[in-house]
Amino acid sequence: MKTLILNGCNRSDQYAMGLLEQLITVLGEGDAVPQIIDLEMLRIADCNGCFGCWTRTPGECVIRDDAPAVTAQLAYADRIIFFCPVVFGGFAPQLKRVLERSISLLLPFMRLYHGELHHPPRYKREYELCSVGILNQTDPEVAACFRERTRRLALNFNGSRFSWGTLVRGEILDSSRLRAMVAVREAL
Amino acid sequence: MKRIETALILCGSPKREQSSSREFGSYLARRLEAAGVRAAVRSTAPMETLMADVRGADLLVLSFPLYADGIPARLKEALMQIVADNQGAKFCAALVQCGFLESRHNDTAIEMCRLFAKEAGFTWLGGLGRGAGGMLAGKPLEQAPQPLRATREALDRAAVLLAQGEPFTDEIIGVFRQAPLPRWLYSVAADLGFLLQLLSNGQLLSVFRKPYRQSRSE
Repeated sequence: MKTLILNGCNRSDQYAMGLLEQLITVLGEGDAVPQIIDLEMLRIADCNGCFGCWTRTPGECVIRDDAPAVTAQLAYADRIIFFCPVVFGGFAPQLKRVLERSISLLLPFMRLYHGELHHPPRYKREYELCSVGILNQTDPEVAACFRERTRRLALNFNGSRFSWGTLVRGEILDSSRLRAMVAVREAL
Repeated sequence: MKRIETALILCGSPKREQSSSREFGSYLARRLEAAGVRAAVRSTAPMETLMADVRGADLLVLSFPLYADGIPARLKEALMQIVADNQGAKFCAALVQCGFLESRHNDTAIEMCRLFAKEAGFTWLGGLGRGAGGMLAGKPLEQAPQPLRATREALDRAAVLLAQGEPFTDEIIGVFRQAPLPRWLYSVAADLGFLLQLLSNGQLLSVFRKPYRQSRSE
């Protein structure tokens, strides 16, 4: 099982790095030693909305920077963990940009999935998504939005279940809570 | 009720042309002007002048395409900067459009816009989510095909409310949520559109291409 962590936190963020270390330990307890991609280190431009990855170079983004290499890793991941600060109930821009640049993982066509139109997966895989977000302060509305954000993305990633959790910055790190975040899978 | 004097439509689409978000935003700006509001449309770039433009507006409307189920990254960065800039009292609304038929794909992004407004201390007037936004094909909304006429008329009513600092009504939100075409027809038309683009790019036979291979260790 290939588990990939997309780290959307900066290396200078000590709280986040401590959390990431614990997350790696927790994930490594099973059979999945996670692979980490530090997005801060990469040069990734904004998606320009051209759909070239569907119609000009099918399966590959037309922009030549570090994003296609990340997409290549995502293509065959079984489980993808999004780790980042929560911004307005969603992912931080650094991580969000990678998702925008990875729509080549899907095909351009429409199909009915869970009662609404979605794009089918290019690699015929069922991705399992997990989001771990850091909040600046306790806010149930923001946390609820983050959960829904993950659920919707899982739908578009041809998933059947997802997991998620948030921690408030400064909160004492607790491995059992982290373990529950990544272990409890909700159905879509 | 507070009379709005100035409005800024912040367009979050990276496209320079054929942007449905820009057309929705530009149409709203014209309707706001007709209602006596000085309205401007701009994109996130250049970022240097954005804060001053936002500061000068009583009403900020975010008009953007749904990108990977959320607010485009570049726009989100601009919103973070607006929050950090501590702009004071202001009204805020959102116009979101997506390439899927169903409007509910936009709901999470609209909620994120509401959370942005809350964090910025702005008064939230609501969000309108349009499915099948690509049907506009970057044309002015005045030239919208028949199925989008009701949307345009609802936007007329929305502009009148925004000019008075009033929130969108359930009726207006409901019109935006209606699917403009039957699902089967939209699905066929969307697929056909992509097939034609693939054909004109000489890539029709490569549509299912998988450029990335699984490594042996995986």
